[in-house]
Amino acid sequence: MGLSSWNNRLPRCPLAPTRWRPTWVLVLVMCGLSGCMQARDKRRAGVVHKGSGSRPAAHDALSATAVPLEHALDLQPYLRDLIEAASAKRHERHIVAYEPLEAVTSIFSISPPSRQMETPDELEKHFRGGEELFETDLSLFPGFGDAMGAKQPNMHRIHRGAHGGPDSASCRSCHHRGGDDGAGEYTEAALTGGDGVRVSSAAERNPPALHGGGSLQVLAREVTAVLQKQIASPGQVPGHWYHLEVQGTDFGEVRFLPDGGLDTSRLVAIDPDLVVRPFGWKGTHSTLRRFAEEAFQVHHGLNSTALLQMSYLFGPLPKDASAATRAVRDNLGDGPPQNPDRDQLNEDLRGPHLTTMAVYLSLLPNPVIEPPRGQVLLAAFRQGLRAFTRLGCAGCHKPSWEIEKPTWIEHSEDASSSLTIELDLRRDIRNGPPLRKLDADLSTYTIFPFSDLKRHDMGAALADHAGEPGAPPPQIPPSYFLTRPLWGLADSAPYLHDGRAATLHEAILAHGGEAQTAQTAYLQATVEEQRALQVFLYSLSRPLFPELTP
Amino acid sequence: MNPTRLRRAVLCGLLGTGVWACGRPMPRVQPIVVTGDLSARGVTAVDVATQAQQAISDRLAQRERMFQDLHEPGSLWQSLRVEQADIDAGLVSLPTLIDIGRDLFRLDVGRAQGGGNGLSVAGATKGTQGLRHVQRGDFGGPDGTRCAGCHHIGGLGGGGFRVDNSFLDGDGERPQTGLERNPRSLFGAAVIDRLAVEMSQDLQEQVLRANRELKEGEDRVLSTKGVPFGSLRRVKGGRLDLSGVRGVSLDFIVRPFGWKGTTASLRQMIVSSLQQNLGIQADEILQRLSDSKALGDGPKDDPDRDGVQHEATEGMVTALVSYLASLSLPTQEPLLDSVFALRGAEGEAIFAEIGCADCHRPTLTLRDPVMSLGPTARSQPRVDLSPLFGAARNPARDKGIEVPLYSDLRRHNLGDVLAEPRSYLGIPKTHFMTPPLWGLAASGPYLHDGRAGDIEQAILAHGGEAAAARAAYEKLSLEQGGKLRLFLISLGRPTHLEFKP
Repeated sequence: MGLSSWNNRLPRCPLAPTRWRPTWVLVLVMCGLSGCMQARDKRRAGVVHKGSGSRPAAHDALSATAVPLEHALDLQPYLRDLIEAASAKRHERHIVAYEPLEAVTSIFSISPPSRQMETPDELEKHFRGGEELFETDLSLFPGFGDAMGAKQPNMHRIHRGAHGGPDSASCRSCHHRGGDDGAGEYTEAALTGGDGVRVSSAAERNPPALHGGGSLQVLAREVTAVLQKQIASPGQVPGHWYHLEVQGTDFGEVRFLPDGGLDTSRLVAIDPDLVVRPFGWKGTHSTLRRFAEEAFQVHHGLNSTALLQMSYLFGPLPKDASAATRAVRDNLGDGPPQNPDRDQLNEDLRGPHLTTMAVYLSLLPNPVIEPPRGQVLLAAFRQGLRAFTRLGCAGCHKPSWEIEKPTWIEHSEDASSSLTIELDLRRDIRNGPPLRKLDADLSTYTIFPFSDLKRHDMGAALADHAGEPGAPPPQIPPSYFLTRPLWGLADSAPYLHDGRAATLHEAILAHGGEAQTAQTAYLQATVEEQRALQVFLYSLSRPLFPELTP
Repeated sequence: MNPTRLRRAVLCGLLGTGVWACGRPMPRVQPIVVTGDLSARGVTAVDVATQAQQAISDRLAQRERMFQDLHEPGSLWQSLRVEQADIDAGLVSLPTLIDIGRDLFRLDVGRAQGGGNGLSVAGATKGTQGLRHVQRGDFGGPDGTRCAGCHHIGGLGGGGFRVDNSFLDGDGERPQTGLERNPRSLFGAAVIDRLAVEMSQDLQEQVLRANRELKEGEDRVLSTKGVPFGSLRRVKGGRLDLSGVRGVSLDFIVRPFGWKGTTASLRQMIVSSLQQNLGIQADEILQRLSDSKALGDGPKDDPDRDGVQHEATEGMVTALVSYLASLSLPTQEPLLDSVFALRGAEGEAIFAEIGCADCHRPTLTLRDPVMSLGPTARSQPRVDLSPLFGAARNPARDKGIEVPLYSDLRRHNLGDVLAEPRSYLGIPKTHFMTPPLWGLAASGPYLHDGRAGDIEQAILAHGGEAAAARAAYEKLSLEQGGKLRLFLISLGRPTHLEFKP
């Protein structure tokens, strides 16, 4: 049977509009089927809100019109790409087996990889190169791991403080649940900040799914810019507490001191530098680059040139760096400054490697909302969507954000290279084939991460037994965590930072602290509503694309 | 060992492996249903459009079941609780059983399903299931929430990454107290099970015959399917000397599962993994170990004190066996590039020449591809595995099927580099079962603890009985070594489209 006919064979979403315009599909694949369900009479075209000052209600945001995924997708080009990539990977495997050394050298050559397929498209080159870095067994690389006190690679399932393991040999080892770039299993929790010996000394971290990071990164930049602008505007009166708010989300208060300094003592939701950091369970990194840099170091023992230079030149941290980056920098190893981890290489990773990885992660698709199809379940889904707001979940798990300018420039940060990569989420994000072909002329870009990007006190029961592992003071308090973006949730069990909750019900019950009210409301809701809420939550899914295996 | 004790041991072995034929005719046999694409002998040959369609429908159906389960908690698990009695009565078809097995394989088990345990012992990590990352003695972790969590490389049922390693028989807290074990690929496990049963049967018959026939001072060589297992000798005083037996335990049961060759059947492996890795106490393990405290100190029907009885029925284990038996077998994928194809062929010759093939035997002959996927030899479903071999199946059934396993299914001394800190279940610390190399391309990392990221590292870690082969490999020219590795990497698995677990 041809591809053209299979679309018609799948069950249709009963509430799908009969007509749709291609431009809406952009929103669709981001927000999936979101909400056609809520109230059809409220339906509006494509994008719901404009501007950063308005306060979008969850209902409105979720009522964007959408069509079912299978109607919007043309699978043929996607499958063609898959097959091409699989053939290339297979050939790659053969080359690596035949000439391992050459293959490894070429992956880690100074200008990073693009061996899979020659392509004139610079962005595509980086995407594929990043994918290769993501999937490669890094233990073959001379810079893998460390040789501090034991033979390289000196694997440690339990991390040694902020230095890390190394505990695994590839990114995909822990990011595969539900498919490529997905979440990790309970088994694959990182045991961070420990003594290298005992499980109980470490803080468990469940590997999160990586989809949508590109959008979060851009959003964090914009929110940060708005916050910075608010304190930079002229005419501020010393001693007066100023309220910080972005798109209806309250970020606390700051006060100007008579000496011109800033009193940030009432800021708990974000760092005192007013930088929004959406990555890491406790919100420790603002960019995918810094996130990947830390992961390479703590999981694979690959330290970057940037970290090294900061370390032995005691150079300043990059502008977007955080306490977590500083902690990693200060714990690279006990060796000489050029090679603190005493392995076979001085600089394990260079700027372009991080660029390639950051570009790859930036271009991963955003998760979607895929409701159930049966009538009864669909009704439950709608009820659950209402319950999400009614019970107060949406207070922190803010459904949608607007992005003004969905573009990103990735700088190399390397003296040896002035490479910069520019990307536009509307045009470049890899959502499978259809988005690439779309007319991307949309004035704003709405995403549905279900997070307010703030840190909250989650109560004593959820607290780590220490602060963010290895971080120098002031640490993020043990019970504070970033509001977990819920998009893609269906494929990311087990839940919570340490993967303690096997089910959605357990995860909700574990909420305390600032979420206590919502948790209580959930407990007091009818069983029917509790279950409906879970049905709704399970519709938050990674994009449903089949993948080739092995 | 004296003859009486020996006879008893062998008799137990025979009964254990269920090879003693009964007088009654065996129940009906049906061909196994093969899942995964068999015809694929290269990416281009796959009918991807059809597979995509199938994969998407399956995925949507599975999602719908998950939604339903949230709406009506427990409904999904209840639908998977199949009883062996119903299977035996023919009420559950083989395709249905395989579907159930697939769901059981990839679903997370929570406290409600009996996952984990309720024993209050120190060292368990957070959460309500009492999971732990390092196993504690025989009891196990449990250290996972679903089979697919650690068996996913190369598709559902594959091997695991190094970070998925289990730490066997540890103290529950420190990884270095445990024996590190990389999850193995399960493709072809039913075929391996059958091969081992036939080998056990051969060896046991040989031992019984030798016990009858051998005269004082005489030796007899033990061997099955062309694989030598040492020799027996009748010493003065009539005693049968077993000190010359090699590669198999002295009950002469070939145990092909587990890195050290500790488990005899696929079913046993599943049952003990359910206990050690997931905390699911199957009915059959409760029966088998009813007197022991190894499963926990709780009441007889719930030793692990999680409040759930009958965590897995016999039928559910049968469903898991059926699913694993249905997975398409590893294949040798052609090297599409013609230069590489030539080199690969030469590599295969080098593989034999330098002695790799002595232990990693290219083929073992399967005489009888019929097996029961249930708890006894007479249980349903009884299946004929030969459809798994597709075109490679030898039409002359009498001659058996050549299984391209690249293993001799016996244990060898691998030397000091691979040695563990201690022996395990009486097997010396340097001894390991020859792992089958079929499907190798999709099963990295390699070796029992996953320490080797590529083929070269794996080869170089060989010592002991494999020292000569390793030395020969080291003497190969760059080009020759490349050819050998190229051949090995061609041992893969059919590429197919699926939603990854």
